[in-house]
Amino acid sequence: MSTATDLFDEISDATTCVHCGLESEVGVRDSQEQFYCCRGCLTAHHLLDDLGEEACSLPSMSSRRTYEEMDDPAFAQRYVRRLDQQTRQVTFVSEDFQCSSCLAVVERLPRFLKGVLSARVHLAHGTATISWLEDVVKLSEIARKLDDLGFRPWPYEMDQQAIDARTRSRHEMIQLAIAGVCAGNTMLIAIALYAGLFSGMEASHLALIRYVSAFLGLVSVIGPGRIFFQNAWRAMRYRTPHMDLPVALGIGIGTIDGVYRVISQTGEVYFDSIASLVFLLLTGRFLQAQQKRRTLERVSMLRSLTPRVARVVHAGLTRLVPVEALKVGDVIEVHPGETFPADGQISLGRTLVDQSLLTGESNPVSLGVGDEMISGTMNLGSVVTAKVMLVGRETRLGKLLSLMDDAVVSKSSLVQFSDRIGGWFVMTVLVLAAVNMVLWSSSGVGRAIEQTVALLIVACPCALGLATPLVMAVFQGRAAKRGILIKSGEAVERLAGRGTVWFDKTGTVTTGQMTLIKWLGDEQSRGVVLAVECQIQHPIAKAMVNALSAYQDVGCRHCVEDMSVTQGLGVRAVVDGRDYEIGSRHWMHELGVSLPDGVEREFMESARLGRTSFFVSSNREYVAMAVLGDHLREGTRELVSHLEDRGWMVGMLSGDDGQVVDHVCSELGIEESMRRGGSSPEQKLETVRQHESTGSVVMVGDGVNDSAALMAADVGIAVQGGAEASMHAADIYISRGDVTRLSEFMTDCRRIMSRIYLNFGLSISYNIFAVTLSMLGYIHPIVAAILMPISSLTVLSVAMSPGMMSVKENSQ
Amino acid sequence: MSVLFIAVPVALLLATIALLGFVWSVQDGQLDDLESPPERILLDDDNDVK
Repeated sequence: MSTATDLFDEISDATTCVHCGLESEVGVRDSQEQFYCCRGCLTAHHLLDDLGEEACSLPSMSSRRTYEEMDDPAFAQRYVRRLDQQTRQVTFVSEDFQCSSCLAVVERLPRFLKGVLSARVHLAHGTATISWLEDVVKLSEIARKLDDLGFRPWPYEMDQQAIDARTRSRHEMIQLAIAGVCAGNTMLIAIALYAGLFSGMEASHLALIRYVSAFLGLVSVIGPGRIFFQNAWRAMRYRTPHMDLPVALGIGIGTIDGVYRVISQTGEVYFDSIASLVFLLLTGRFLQAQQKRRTLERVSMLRSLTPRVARVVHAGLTRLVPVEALKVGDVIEVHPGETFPADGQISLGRTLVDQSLLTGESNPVSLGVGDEMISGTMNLGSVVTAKVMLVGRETRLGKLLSLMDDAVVSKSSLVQFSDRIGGWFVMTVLVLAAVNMVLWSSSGVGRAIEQTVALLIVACPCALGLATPLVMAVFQGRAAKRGILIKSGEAVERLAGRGTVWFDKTGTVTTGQMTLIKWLGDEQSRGVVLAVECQIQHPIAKAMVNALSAYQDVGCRHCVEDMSVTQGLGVRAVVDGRDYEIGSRHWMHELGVSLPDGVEREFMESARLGRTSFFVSSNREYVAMAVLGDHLREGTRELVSHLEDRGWMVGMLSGDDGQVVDHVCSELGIEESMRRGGSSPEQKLETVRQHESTGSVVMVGDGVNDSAALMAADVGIAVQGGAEASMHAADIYISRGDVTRLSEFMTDCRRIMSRIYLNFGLSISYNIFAVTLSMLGYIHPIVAAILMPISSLTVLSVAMSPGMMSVKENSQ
Repeated sequence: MSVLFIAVPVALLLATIALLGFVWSVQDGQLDDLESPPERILLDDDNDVK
């Protein structure tokens, strides 16, 4: 029967995954037309159906790559770790490691493949670490098995930056734990102290408790609290006001004064307040740092997706070398399914190349001898030989990656609100402390010092430090449940304001998939076309099969014989005894088929709109014409007008031809001055930078060609369905491929920002209240001990309270 | 109430043990990935999987 039913077509209407019950708009279907949200679910479902018979009953999802380069010593040296004599370990990264089903399938690898000892999936990073016995199984076999199961493995190498980030994250967690232990225990001990206030306490017990709390306070301040002094010192050296200055002042003076009072056994101590200050402030800081680290992880992951090995032809022999060893002038061979490792010129062979990574062009390009190849693009057709012209950082991809690095560094960082008011805060506290000192000096120096220490401690902006990170962390968690990943808090602040939004076209506002837009001529021949095309492994053929899948009943009944493909032009076959030719207009002319005038006009029109046409003829007679094209996602028009209503400028930045972009823009209602067609990745980056002066710049895109712009924009938003690279480059990632959720998300951002400002207001009023109390002489350690948790709890409850999202969260 | 002279140091000792346990778990990498373990627990025990 026809192979049409075996296709794994990404489809675009909302459906529920058979396996995990998740609502998803993109996904895959199996041979029984059952819908799954991802490949993991599909594989898992089939495995559960007939566990034991392995995955051989599955329709193959293989990309037909051999992965033989993985058996090369050069590869092993770089990526494979030797655990002992026989055992080897490697880490793969893949965009397909997504959910628990993926985890279940991949971690069962030892069951499918003898010699594999273990497989551990790290969902947060999208990596899997696999150990195996070298004598029993080859790495290429493991990779092929993963590929068969629907996971395309890429070797992953942890770079220094990622290792540093991990070390820092662990260090901060430990510091936080120490601060937490100290804070908790000083508070407990302080309860004894305060109870003693009312019921009286033996002097020896009082001394013990004061010594213990001094000890814990000192551990907290000297250990995890050290960072505040370091920051304050730096701020003073560079004469920039910093929030850590009043903090360092408060906890520093409080500690010294406290230690003195414990030893001299006079006055009050504030170690419980000091220890909890250190803990709460570090908590806020840790949440913020985690956000930053996620941003940095992005570039590191992106690098893993670029090719790592090349096949060099030398004296008639091919040998695999690491990309780094590639030299200009080398002759390399690139097999189908592989990415080009360097820029160069094709010297032998003809093939189809998927350049969507760099150009955004969804149709594969046919390249022949003398044509330029670009590193990072994928060879879809046949084996080609090419001469290397540029390597490494000199290649277009290399340059793009370094542009992205620059973009991260130069990204004008929005100063945190708390830092902005930092200067004002420091001055106020210092002035108040001085005034306080003078006011109380009449009642003796001792009393004046005591009151001033109390003021410095209660003036510490503890809740202020928690206000933003807490709300942001809660928001991130809730958004993630709805399939929106927020990687930077700054992006939320930007989206709540206004500025310019640039949309990419293909895959972002359009579905990025070919559908049949028009069919002229004989209706019956649709089945013929389907029957022929579904036997061809060509991207356009596949698109046609997709577009015509509604006619598969008819298609299956045809008997196709004697098929011959003319590369890049069309296909000829005998269907039910009749000769048919299906192909481009150019080919029709070559064959001598004359096309009616109306059809010619239609062709010109659709070519202008960037659509692909093909023709069907039988025995040199025109039969039908089909127009295939991308179409707009539903709701994008509303999105554009919604954004404009809110004062955003909306534009389109696309690698596609200007006329096509014009056509889509007029459908969407985007102004003429905001249409940028034919932009290269470099030009996109440039455009985004130019508009930085006019408020926040938001870039919404999906391809690698957008990555640099996504990075450079104040807010980069990636939409699922595109390249993995763009997902890592973006600040915000909208999964389930629905760009229209952006407007709803922006409303949420506004709500979040108002909540953050409310939190600021609350915590500042706490500080004002506490400082007033202390100036009036009402502050006692017990008052501080009650006030501080109250203010933090207020901030916390504002952050946690529901009603943050405009749409109810999906509870699966 | 002189039991305090024993109870307080014991409390601190317990806290230190808990802290050391946490430090060990962080350095062991147990807190690096908070997404996979909750999913992994749903997998059936499998003698083949080590």
